[in-house]
Amino acid sequence: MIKYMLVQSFRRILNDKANSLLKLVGLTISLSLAFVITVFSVHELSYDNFHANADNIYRVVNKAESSDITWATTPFVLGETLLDNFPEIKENVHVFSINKISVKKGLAYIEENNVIAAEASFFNIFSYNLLHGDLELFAKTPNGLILSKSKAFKYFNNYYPVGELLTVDFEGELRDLVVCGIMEDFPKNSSLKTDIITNIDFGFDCLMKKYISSSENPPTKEELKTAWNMGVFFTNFIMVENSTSIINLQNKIANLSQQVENLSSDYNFKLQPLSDIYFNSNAYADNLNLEKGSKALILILILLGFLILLIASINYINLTVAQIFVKNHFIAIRKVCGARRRNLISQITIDSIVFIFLTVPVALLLTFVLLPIALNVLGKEYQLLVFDNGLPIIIIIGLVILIGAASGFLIGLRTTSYNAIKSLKNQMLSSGNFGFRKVLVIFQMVVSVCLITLVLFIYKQTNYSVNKDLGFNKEHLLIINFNSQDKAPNYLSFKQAIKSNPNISNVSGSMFTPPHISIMSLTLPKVNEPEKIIGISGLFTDYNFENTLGLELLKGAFPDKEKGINGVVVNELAARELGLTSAVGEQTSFGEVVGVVKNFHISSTHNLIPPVMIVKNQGMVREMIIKTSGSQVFETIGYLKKTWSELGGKGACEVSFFDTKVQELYIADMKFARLIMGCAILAILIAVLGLVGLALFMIKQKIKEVGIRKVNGAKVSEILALLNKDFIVWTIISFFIALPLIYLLVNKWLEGFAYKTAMSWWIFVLGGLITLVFTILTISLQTFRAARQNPIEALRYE
Amino acid sequence: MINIKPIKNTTMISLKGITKFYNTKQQKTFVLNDVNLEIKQGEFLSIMGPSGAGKSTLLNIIGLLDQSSEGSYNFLGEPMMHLKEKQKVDYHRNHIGFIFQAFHLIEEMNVYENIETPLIYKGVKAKERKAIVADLLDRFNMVAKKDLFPAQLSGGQQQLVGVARAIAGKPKLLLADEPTGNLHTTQGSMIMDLLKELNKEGMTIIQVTHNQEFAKYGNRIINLVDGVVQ
Repeated sequence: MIKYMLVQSFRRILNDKANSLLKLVGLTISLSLAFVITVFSVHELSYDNFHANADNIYRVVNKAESSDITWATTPFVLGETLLDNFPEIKENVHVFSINKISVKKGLAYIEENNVIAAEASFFNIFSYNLLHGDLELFAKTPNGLILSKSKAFKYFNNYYPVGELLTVDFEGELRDLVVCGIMEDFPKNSSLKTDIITNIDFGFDCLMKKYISSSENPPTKEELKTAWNMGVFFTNFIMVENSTSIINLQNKIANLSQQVENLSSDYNFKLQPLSDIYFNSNAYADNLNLEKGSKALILILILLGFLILLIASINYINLTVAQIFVKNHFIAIRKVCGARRRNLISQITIDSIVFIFLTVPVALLLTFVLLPIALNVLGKEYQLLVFDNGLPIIIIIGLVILIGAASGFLIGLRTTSYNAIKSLKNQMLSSGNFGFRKVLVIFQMVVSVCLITLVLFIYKQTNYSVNKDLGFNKEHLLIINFNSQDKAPNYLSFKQAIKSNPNISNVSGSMFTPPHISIMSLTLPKVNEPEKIIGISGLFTDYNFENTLGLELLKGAFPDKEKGINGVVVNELAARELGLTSAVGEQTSFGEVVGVVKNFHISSTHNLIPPVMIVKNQGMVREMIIKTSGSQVFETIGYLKKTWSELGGKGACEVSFFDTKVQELYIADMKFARLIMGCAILAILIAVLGLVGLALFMIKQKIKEVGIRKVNGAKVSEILALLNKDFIVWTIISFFIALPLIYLLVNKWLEGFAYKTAMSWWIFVLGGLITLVFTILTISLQTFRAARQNPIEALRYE
Repeated sequence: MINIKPIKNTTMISLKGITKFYNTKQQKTFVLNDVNLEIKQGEFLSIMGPSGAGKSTLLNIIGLLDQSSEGSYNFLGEPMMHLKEKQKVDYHRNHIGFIFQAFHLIEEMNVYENIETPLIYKGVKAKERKAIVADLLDRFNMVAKKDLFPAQLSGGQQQLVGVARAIAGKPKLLLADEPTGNLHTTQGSMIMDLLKELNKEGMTIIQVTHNQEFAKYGNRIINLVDGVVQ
């Protein structure tokens, strides 16, 4: 029986090739998209779950009372304190981020990123496999390191260089480190990715070095190990005993300051489960370069995937129902031959499952192509293989069976309910069955209109953000990267040299150029209530910064080295927040206030303008800001690059335009727009395929009517109007259904922006018009042929 | 399963006061008006009449494809007026076969499968099905064509398959709605000869036809005009 049904299914597919193809294309595309989304989501949701102790690992984070930021870093001494005070904590590791380091290979130095320092307990807590070597040796060797397998091969051409020396250059100082062990490369779904783990002692050396460069009185290593108040530089992971009550432990840790000397009550330690780190660390200040994911993105993707699958399934249902109605005796003959409704429904259901299964091989091929593109659009740096994990294919096959069964069942119910005899007598059924189809088509169109309009709004908002008045003069600004100081020429001499160029009107520097993706937070007491600590945003800049950006001075003066004006500048909000009365002349913990400027954008339009304090500190400058005259821009850039190398700059001189920098702030938004646009295009494409199919059926049904009307003198345009009328009405109905949905969607999306573009009515109309034009074009391609046809053709077989 | 033993020359079908009408805006439009008809086992009845006289409607009511608005209908002594869908299917599976003017073969099935279809729905075992279909193919000289699809056959051959399919389930009653309407005369005669032969073997046949010649194959002819038996 099953074999009999399968054979019939295949023959039916082949019998109506055009229709089958329309259905197949839509289903294949949507299934492939579902495949991509499933592979991606399965991977994302698997982050950090490979650790055998995953459920017992926590990161200690610190939400200071005085600041809005949650720090994912803590003082070193906390680790031992926790181990000593709480027996339920089995293991503890401090991880220090060394980040960039240059490793000698032959004569050259190669830069390695994400280098960390940690204790040997790192490998007891996490399930990163040590392949060779000895953890005890690593623990005992202050200059020891563990190397990943691939880096071992990179530097030593073999996988077993235990005991060999690796020379590294850390900020100009050469050090020999001993390879104490080889570990397996970290899995793709590890949020922490590192190839070199050094002994924690080397981490301290690096930390000291950083201290020395920015402070006149550097602390000793011992002080850094035991002090509570010398900064938070370490990420602290703990592993607890099975079945530890985390709430209890957390409460006990919260009360730690009562037991421990010198522990400021400003610390407020919390435990973050390992499983939480990948998705919920965006608001945390950490320094480990952990990969971060977004659950919201996964949800949106799954939702979009479902919508598009639904659209394709609707096409399948609509076209199949139409197919059965056109060949209207399909059901009737079988009924007369003694088929029960149950037999027919199961036949149609098997048909559907077989049909949708046919799309799997092509969808799979398409997935191989789409997956890297999708990962790129999503801004993911990793690559995935379709079969990395068996779960996606199982999910997809499950989906196929589900969709096949559900749509087959629906089609069966829809097509077998009427009396058999009617379809045996009439050659074609009347169009009375359009109600069901109408609902489905309108649903597809609503989704299309919503997606198109959402894309339009995302572009409008991004355009608004990029072009928004920032509160300063952003014309003709160039930025030079001074981030890696060992590769740049001396900042001051470079600045001195270029000042003389007639095309350069102003030069200054800053830690970063506003608007910037991350802002730095300063904590300081209020001026009128010194016991109250507040957080405001800080900008560490060179002199002349205010003039270069053209900030608007409201009170006082800008700091000027030559005129001897020294102090800080605040914006209006900061003046209010700090409780300044006259502002100019008042003392803050960062210096005397010399000027007040108008509020200006320091970060993207996602955030409100915060209170800002501009502090002069040439040592912290990482970007040089240059105001040019606006003419001969490329000559000026050439001049800058030439001067850079003349003054001893080793690396390339990275000059960027201010506008480009601003646009970079909205890369994530643009990626999201592209994602939604991609889905919108797919949704429309599939919906259009469905419309083509429906138009073909409608023409088949109305071909005689068209012939008769033409014989009676109807013009082509009148016939077109007749045939297109329904579709146009459906589009208009869907537009009105979509309106409130779009409003809600856009509103929700705009919530993420502090400064929003207007919800202009014309965008709604444009979204609707685009859909309408698409629909009319698609339908007309079909109906035009029918309308032009010689009526004799249609009436010949009467 | 309905299991009624047919007895020769007893009444198979008894129609009393069968009336069929449609309610249009102001009035009732009658398709059949007070039809009274008795058909015995083994009869070959031809129903004639002009277009729109209600011939097909009458045939469909007898074949349980349509329902009369009024009147009573007994088939093999059982009342047929308020059967459930399921019971009707049982009659189609076991007692009633159909052939149509437009043949109505299933186009994605070959000859063999078309004949086999009612047997599958009836739940006949595979082995037995094979035997029955082979017999029918043999009898209708269609063995060589068993793998062809309807579109590859002539009209006459298609109708042969139609007849084979209708009688595969060994029904007691064969209903033929203008079986020769789409055929030219030679093919038409061939089908009529076949029906005659089936009738001789004991099958009760009711045919609707426009063709005087072919009507004469029946052993009784009734005329239906405007829904009334003349």
